Amino acid sequence: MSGSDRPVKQWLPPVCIMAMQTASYIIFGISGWFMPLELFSVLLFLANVVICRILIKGGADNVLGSSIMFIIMTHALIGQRIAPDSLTSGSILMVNILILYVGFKIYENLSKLHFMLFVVSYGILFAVFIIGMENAEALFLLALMGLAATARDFRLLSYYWALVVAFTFCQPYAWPAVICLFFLIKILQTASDNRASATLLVFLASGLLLVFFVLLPVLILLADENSRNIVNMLKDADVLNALFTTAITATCSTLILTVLCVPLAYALVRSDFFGKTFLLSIIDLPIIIPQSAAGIMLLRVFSKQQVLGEFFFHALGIRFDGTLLGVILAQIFVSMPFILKSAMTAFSAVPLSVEQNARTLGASALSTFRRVVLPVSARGLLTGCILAWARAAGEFGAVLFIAPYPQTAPVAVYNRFTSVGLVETAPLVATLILFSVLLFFVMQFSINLMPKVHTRERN
Amino acid sequence: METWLDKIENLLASLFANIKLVEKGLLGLEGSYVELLTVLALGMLAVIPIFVPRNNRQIWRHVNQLFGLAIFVFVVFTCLGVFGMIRNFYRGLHEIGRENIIALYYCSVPVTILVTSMLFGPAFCGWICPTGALQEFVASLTRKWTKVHKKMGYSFSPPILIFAIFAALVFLLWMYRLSVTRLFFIEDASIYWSQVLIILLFVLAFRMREWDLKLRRLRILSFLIIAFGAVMSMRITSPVHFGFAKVYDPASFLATVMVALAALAIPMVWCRYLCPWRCVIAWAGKNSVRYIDFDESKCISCSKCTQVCDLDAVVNGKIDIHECHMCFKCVDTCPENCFSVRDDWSRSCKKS
Ligand code: SF4
Ligand code: SF4
Ligand code: SF4
Repeated sequence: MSGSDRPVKQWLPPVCIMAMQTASYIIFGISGWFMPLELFSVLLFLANVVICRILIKGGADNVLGSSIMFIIMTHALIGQRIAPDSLTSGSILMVNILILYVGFKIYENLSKLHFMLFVVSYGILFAVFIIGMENAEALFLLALMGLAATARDFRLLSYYWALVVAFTFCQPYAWPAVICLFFLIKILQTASDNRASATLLVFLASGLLLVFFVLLPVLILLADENSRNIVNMLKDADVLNALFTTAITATCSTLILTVLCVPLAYALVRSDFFGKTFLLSIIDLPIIIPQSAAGIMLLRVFSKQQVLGEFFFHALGIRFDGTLLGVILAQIFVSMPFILKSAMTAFSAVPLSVEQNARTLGASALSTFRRVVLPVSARGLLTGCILAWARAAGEFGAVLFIAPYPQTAPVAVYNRFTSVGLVETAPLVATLILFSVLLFFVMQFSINLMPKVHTRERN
Repeated sequence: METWLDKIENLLASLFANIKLVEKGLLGLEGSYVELLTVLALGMLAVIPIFVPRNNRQIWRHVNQLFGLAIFVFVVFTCLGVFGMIRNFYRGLHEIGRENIIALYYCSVPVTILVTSMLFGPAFCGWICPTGALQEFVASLTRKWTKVHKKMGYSFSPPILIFAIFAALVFLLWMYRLSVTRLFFIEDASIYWSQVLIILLFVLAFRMREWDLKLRRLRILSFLIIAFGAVMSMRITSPVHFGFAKVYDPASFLATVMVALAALAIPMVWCRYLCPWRCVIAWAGKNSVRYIDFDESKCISCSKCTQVCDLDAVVNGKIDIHECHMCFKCVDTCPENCFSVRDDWSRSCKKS
């Protein structure tokens, strides 16, 4: 652009530009198109004189210097026209010089790809800010500065673009978008660092979209609330009670399930009998049946006037509908398959040889189970328990029918939604999410405290 | 149930009694381009370190710092305290696409600083930052004496203790005055940093040598406090910078005075232990294009560089980039010219 692509003589281009500038100052000044004696114009003229001197002395890169001079000259001439005042014009000039400088350096020192990306990014930014947005010229300058800082490195550049995309296109929810995008970029980058092939990367990226589909609503809901709402939520007696109810019932049902299901799972894994396949498929029944249907079924059997419920009520004075027992019952019903399945998986991973060794060394069947099998499969069992707990705590359909009161947390959310609406329910949901996520992390962490058994290495 | 939550809230409220909550961000001067002056000025000041000649570099640097002080007194004064930067930055990002001018108003200075740090290293600290400049100028008054203290390896020093007591007295008297006029209690959180600073001075009087490195992590804490305040839209400003913005704001001004006093005893004490921006700048400048290269083969281990560095960022040539302010003092003093300022555009940003 400077007409100095082949510097035949070092002094030629800068001096040419100086001459051009002087000439245009005089011509335009006489014609009254702009004022050469204004402070801004004079300053830029002086700046060019200084650079020209440096260049003639050979103190700097000739091409770069001449281009900078050219840009300064252009700004001196039309700067007043394109910007409201000399300050703005000066800022634009500064950013332009920065961009030019960085572009030059990238062209000189880095690959063609870097340079291409730099130019393309510039174009896209121009389209986004100048064409696509109102009043965004100044933001365009800021974005350009960001580009200048990050263009030299692909990683940095990708983070930069994530930021730009998040803060322009995803505006009200920029922060969740930033988190998701950064996460994605980080995953892909570390994967490619570990030499995953291109196909794998594509698979990974497309699959991760699904993960973000899950993650995004959660983040957005959390981003909408500030912490004061959440604290206020916790002061609400209803909410607190619901939380406690949930915690207590879920824990009870998980305990009951653990006591009953873990031995059952062991028996199912280690023994063979008539109709085992049939039994195994029955176990899946609670997963297949819709939850509301499950609730109705339980009600049909356990409510006060019905088959079993009547018996319990008259013989023992226990009732299930509308009590904590009912809640626990429903939770047990829906979360049984989870714990049973995980326990079976955990037990079947224990090699038979280990047990047989224990037996030959004189341990009884019970103590083998207790002292060998249980510790070896502890991680799997705990995972099962956590799954069952989460399932129980989150159960809504079945619980709603058999025991709408005392409220558990999911029921409380539903009640609030139907009575006061979406906006009022959001803080409660955010609170619940926070709690569940915290609990889940604690539980996952506790899994790591379990003994880790490397069965393979032993063999 | 409700009582203990209430209690905690009251406790927190009483702890942070002097933190004022603001409902909305400060409004920008709409349609004004005065913020562009900041960009321009910062940019120019950031360019100067690139061009200044090697000889007399330190003089140029001080001139630059003076400009920095001047610009911040004037510009920031008009810009309602740009250096509540982290909070403003947070707000500004939210305004993109809605109120672009205001977004620019809030983002311009932080973006400029981050960008220049990523390209040219943390030169903002050494060359422009008014707080750094203030501390450095003040510290030069007692340089003779602090040099000795440093040479002795920061042993326990009664003088620092006396300084600390002196500073604490000034602090208490001032606070007393403010509390009489009742201004202090509605002012912002600058007081918090002053308090920390005073406590810090007492700690340092006894334990500087052992605790120096550990205490530097306080910067992260102060960054977290400010970032948290920004997200919760509390008004927690970085006081010293704010002190320049509103000289009539007594709390901030008090904080500024405290920093200046403390810097008499320990040069750059605010930068070392408390500055929240330092973490950000150091992070941005970690893999900057420009860096100070050290040629180990030339080094004669004279430890002149160690002595001259106010931040103890360099030990016989090895520079700790998390602490370095790019003031080039070590570069200029090294008798063997071990250091050279380099540009490396292919410096990639691997995890370090
Ligand atoms: S560390 Fe903070 S106060 Fe010190 S010079 Fe840097 S930005 Fe300024
Ligand atoms: S001043 Fe130079 S020669 Fe002396 S210790 Fe430092 S780097 Fe080595
Ligand atoms: S290491 Fe050198 S350049 Fe960095 S702060 Fe210390 S004296 Fe200045």
